Amino acid sequence: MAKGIDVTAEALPDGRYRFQVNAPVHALAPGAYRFASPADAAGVPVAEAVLAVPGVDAVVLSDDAVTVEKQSSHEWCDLEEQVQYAITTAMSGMQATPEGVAPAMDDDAMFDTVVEIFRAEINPQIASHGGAVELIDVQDGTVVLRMQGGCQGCGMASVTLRQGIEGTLRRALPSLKGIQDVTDHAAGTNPYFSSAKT
Amino acid sequence: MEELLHARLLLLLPTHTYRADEFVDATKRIGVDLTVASEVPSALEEGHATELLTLELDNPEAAVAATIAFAKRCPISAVIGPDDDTAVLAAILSRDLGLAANPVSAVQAARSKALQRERLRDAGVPVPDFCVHAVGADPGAAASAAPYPCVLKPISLSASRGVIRANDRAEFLAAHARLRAILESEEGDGGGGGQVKDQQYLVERYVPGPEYAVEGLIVDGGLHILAVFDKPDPLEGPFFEETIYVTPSRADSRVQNSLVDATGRAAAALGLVTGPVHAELRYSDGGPWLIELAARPIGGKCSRVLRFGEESEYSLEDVIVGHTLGVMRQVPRREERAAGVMMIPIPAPGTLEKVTGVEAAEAEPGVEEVLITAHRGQELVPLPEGSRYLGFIFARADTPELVESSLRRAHEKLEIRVSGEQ
Repeated sequence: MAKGIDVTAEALPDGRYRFQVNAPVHALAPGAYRFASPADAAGVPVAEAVLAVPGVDAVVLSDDAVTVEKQSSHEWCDLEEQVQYAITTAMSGMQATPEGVAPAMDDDAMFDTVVEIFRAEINPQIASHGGAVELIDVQDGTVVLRMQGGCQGCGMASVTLRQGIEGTLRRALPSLKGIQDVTDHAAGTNPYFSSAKT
Repeated sequence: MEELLHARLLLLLPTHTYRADEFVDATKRIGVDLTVASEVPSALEEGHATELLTLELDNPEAAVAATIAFAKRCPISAVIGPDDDTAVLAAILSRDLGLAANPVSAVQAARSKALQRERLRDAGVPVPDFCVHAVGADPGAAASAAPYPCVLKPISLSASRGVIRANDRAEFLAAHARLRAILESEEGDGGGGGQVKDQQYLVERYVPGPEYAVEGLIVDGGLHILAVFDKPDPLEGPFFEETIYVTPSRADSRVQNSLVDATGRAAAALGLVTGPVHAELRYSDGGPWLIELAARPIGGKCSRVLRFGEESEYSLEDVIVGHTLGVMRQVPRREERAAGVMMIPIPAPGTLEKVTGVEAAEAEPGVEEVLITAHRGQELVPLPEGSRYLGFIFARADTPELVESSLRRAHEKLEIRVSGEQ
C-alpha cells in the first residue's frame, strides 16, 4: 500500500459503499461527480481505477470521498479491498491495477515489487508466528517462493499462502499467473502449528 | 463440474488439522471464494478479513454470532467442517445460516462414541455389546461387568487415541488407569471437554476378525460408496495403530456388500442426509460389525490415495466441495487402479532425529510419495497416548497385492532415528 494514503470503508444504508480518504480524490472543480463508464472517467485517475474493478457499476467522487455502486452479481466483501487498493494506488501516482486490465509487468519488475511487498507487508506480519517468506524467482509471471521458520512445515502454511500471501500479491500484481511454493516442509524444525488427529 | 457463478465456502480448519492443503487446493480448483476459519488468528488476518476469520471453534454460541455477523457482509453459500471437532460446528452454523446440511443431532450422534452406538443398536445395526462408565467411577465394578476380551474407549478422543484392549480384570484396571492419565493430560493441555472424572468411556466387546473402512458420500439421503478399504495388518490390540489401507478391497463381493449395506444403514440410523462419511467395520461371525462411523472424510493425509473421474482428475476434497456447493451433480467413480496408503508406524517413543531412505522408498515401483509429516525434534508418541502421525506412504498399481507389497518395501527402506527412546 502507498504510504500516507488512508482509506476507510463504510457501508451506506442504500447499499452503496463510501470510501473516506484523507486527501482530495480529484483535481476537478469542487463538487461531486458521478462516473458510470470508462469513457466518463477518462483522465480522472481515481474514477478510472475504481471503475476498472470488476463488479463496480458507478463511482461518485466528492472532495475526499469515493462512493461506489456495485453490480448485484458481486458482493462487497469481494470488492472492498480491491476498491481500496485501486484508490490508494491511483492517488499515490501509480497506475491502478485492477484485475484483468493492467498491462502485464515483466518478471524483473514483478520481482522488485514482490520483494518490496514481502519486506514491507508480509514478513513483518508472519514474523509474529516466527515465520518468513523468501522470494526465489519470478518465472513467466509465476512467483517462486520459499517459506521459512514457523511457516516451514506448519499445518496452516497453505492457508497463509493461498488466503493471505496470494491475495496480497494478486491485488498488487494483476498479471500474476501463479505462485509456486518450493519449501521443503518436511525439513521444518519449528512449525508454528503442528497437525494432530482430530 | 458445473460453472459456479458466485459462491463463498466457509471452511472450518482447526490449526491442528491435517486437511488444510487438500481442501484449500480443492476450493481454488473449483473457483469458489473461500473463507478459512480457525481458532487462532492468522498472522495475515489483518488485511484479509474476507479470506481469514477467527472463530471460537469450541464455543458454538460465540462462533454462530461471529459467523452471522460475517455473513451479513459476505454471504456464505456453504460450511464444511472436515474434522471430527468441526463437523458438529459446521452443522450448527449451516442450520443457523439457513443452509442445507446434516441435522445437528445426526452429526452430534456420529461424534459421540456412546450416542452413536445407542442409535445404531436401537436401529438394528450390528454393533459390539457395550456399556458406558464415568471415568471417575469405580473401575473395579466396571471390570467385573466387562465382557472379556473387551476394548476401552474414551468418548471424547478421536481415532484410536486411548483405545486399549483388555483380556482380563487386571488388564482392564491397567487400561483404565492409562486411559485416565491420557484424559488428564488432555485436560492439562486445555482439551478433553470437562473434568476427567465426569468424562465417560466406553467398554465394548472385542470383535475379532478382519477390519475394513468404507468411504462414502451421502447425496440427497442416498449413500454413494467412494471406496472400500482392506486393512491387511491385523488390529488385535492391545493398542490399535492403523497402518495400511488398500482399495479396492480383496474381500469377496458378499462381504463387501454387507459392509456397504451396514454403512448405509448406520448413516441412516444416525440421520445423516448429506456429506462425507467414513466408517470402520469388522467382519466376524458371518456378518459386519459397525465399529465407528464419522461424518467426515478419511483422516490424516490419507485422502491423497483417492482419485476420481475418467482421468483421475478429482481429489476426494474436490468431490466433497463440489457436492456441498452443488456444482458436482454426479458422484464420479474412483479410478480403476488399485491404491493404498501406509500410515508410517511410530517405531518408539522419543525425539525424531531424522528420517533417511525417503528417496529409496519413493524409487520403489508403485510408490508415488513418501510424506513425512513429523518434523525433526518432534516428540514421537505411539498409541494409545499419541495424537500425531509420523508420515504417510502412498502407492498405486494394477492390483491391491502390488500396492500392499510396494508400501511394505518402501517402509523397509526408511530408517527412522529416534533419540531418547524410553
